[in-house]
Amino acid sequence: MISPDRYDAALREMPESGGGGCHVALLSVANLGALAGLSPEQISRDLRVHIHGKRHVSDREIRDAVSKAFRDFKRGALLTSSESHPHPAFCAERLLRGVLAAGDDADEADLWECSPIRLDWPPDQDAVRLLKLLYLAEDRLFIGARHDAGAVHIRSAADWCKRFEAGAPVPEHVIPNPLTGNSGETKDGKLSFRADSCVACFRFAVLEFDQTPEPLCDPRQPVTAWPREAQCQFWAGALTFKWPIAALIDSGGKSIHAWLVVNAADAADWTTQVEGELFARMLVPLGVDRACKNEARLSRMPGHFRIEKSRWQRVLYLNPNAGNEVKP
Amino acid sequence: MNAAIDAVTSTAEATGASEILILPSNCGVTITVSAEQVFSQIAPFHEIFRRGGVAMRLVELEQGKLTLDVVKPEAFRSLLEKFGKLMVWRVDEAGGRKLVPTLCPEQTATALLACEKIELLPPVRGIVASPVLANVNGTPQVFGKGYHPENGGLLVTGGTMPPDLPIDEAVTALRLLVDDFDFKTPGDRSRALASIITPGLCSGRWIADSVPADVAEADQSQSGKTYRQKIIFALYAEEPRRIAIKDGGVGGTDESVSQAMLSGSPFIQIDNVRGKFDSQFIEMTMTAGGMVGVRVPYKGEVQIDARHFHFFLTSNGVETTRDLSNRSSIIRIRKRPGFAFRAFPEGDLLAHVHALQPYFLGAVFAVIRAWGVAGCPRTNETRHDFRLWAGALDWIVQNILREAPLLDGHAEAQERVSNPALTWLRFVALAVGDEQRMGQELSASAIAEICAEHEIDLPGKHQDDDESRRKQIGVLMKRALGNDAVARVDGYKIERREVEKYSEAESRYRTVKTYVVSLETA
Repeated sequence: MISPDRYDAALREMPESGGGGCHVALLSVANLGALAGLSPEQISRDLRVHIHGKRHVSDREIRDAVSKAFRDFKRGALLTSSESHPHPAFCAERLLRGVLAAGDDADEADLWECSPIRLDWPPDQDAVRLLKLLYLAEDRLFIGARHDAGAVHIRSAADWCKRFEAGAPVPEHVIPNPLTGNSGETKDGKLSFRADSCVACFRFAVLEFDQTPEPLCDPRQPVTAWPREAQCQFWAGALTFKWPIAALIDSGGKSIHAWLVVNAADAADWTTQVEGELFARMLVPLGVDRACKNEARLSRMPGHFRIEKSRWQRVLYLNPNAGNEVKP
Repeated sequence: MNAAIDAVTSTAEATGASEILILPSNCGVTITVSAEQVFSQIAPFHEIFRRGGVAMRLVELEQGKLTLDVVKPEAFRSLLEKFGKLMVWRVDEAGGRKLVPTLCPEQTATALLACEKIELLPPVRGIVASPVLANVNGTPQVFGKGYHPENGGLLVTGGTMPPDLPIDEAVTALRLLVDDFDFKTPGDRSRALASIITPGLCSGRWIADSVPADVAEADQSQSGKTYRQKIIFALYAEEPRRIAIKDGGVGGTDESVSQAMLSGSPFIQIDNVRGKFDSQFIEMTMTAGGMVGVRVPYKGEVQIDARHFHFFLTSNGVETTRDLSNRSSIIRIRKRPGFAFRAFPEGDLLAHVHALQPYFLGAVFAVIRAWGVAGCPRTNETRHDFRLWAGALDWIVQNILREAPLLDGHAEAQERVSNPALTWLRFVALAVGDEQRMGQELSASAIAEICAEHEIDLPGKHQDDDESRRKQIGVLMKRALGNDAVARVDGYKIERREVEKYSEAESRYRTVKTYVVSLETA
């Protein structure tokens, strides 16, 4: 429990809305209110009174912040829902342990060893090799920085190869699914060239563990990142069980990204099968980051050198025939 | 697509991760042991619930309407397969035991559903379509979409979280919902407002006692009595279960009410009641204050929490029993000929409430919160059988909504609806008004003619000839007026006069009774 004075002070110092940082401050103040033992209703009312500035802040925005604060602190008062979680298709813990056992002490060398394509080139050639092996020349791909969204970042695989072979630097991110090249609406209604609505082929789902899977966690300990060794074991185990993995990418940080072949027919098929079944009932219970479920999900582009980490983003495993339909 | 799902599925099978539900067999797993495992495993998913000792689940009807339905054994067989792989222990060739895949026989499904371990399923008292401001140990908590185990279990099936409204704005918003109706008395208006707030109080368990039925009565058809109730349904985003009085009488109606209660939706509307309405089942349900046994064909009896339900009746002249009238909140409105109801950008008031449903629900929440902050006070109102409700709502309408006392004028309405003669007399007064014969002395014969023209039935047994009808009118007038010379019914004054008239046939003067209908204010 913290002093209500801190909460009051934070309320008084709320920055103005419309560029002043009000949105972020909403959650900070709501957190302090929750810690001070105030009710969600009280905090919502206080926020409403103290919000000022050019931008209209909706009740919903306030409510979301307060709900998040209470969810995070597990005080449970504003019961927005006891969401009906989809029924997992299996016991996640048992499957995780079974896959890890199958991956038994595997490391990056073992993944490299079992890759159907021998990865015998230097990391700076990863981009070109991956593009040539997994894509048709005319497939249009987004490759760029996290916030790049313009048409200039969507090029055909052949064009990207030509540029990289000519020495152009490899940007850090890629959307594994080919795009239309046209602009489409994002969920917020804005136009973008890399929105979910811009996806032309629904070939891959990006899988990543952002933290240790919950079924393997000690509930008394804070959740931590999943060690790379364990991730290597998991993906090696998954390959043992013939998961249709086209590529495993070393993010150059802590995690490994898997490009799982899904070959959804269209956006509706993606929603029902990939999001509704594969992610909701299978992968998310296993601990795969639920944020990965959308079709225009970014992954790390192999062949990019991460200066801040002094490490390459590398291909660890490559199988163009995964799922038998990766490359027509 | 299937390759990825198949790969993960086969991994689950290969690693023994597929959930297994072990059904009972004569190899050491009793029905009780199996039921404990099965119900423990499916309980956390809030898909199958326990209600009155019976398994129920949420199902979607054709129009997208959600309803609770009894899980029948034949459906339970396949439902179980969603929660795991069904296995059973069998004796192997070597005389040992082995676990083998199986289908759930209907007999096993029946046995599991009948097992006492069904208590492991989450309880549910009903469903509501929009968020609820619940009283959880004295603290208001908003229950959004999802299952909430508090207060006996409640399933909120949808809706948007309502905004927090300042109390003055909330009062203004709620008044808007009744402003265009011409209520017979200020007390009727107060009861209309109480009717708007009562479902919120009950679903949140602020009132954990019986509440009266909303009985909407109008002097003429097309007065807006059903419309007023529709506004309440819209405010709570509910679609009521509508029940028609069947030709066979209330027997069939009781069965329909049972079916409606079984569905779990809180609002039950019996529209356009004509003449006598007498249902012991509804009376019993409204006074039970707890569980009632509901029996529907092919589904057996289910114990249901009657406090979850709200009854709405509409009529142009309901006639009911004394007991049912004591369990009613009668709200009378008058037709406003030529009156144009207020228009809103969305259309009429009902469209406006539909469009801004969370806002109006927020107004109800604000009133309940204000009442809660005040300590949930009650007045000493004792003029209603449901005193907890009457005391609470009387306080709310007077102190928060600043309206007239809740039950002003209600006793008169109750007396009238439970007295067939008074109900009949009300129809007669309305018909006399229509005929523009107010203030005229009318004989029993003249009244009999008016009744015939306006298709007003004469309560009680009598033969279908003029003399019998005249006599029956005399009897009804005697019952309605008693020993007094004057009766007052819903704003009308009916006066009995006695005049001496010479009878040619009998060659003598006779005392003849006549009746004069006038407006009470006249």
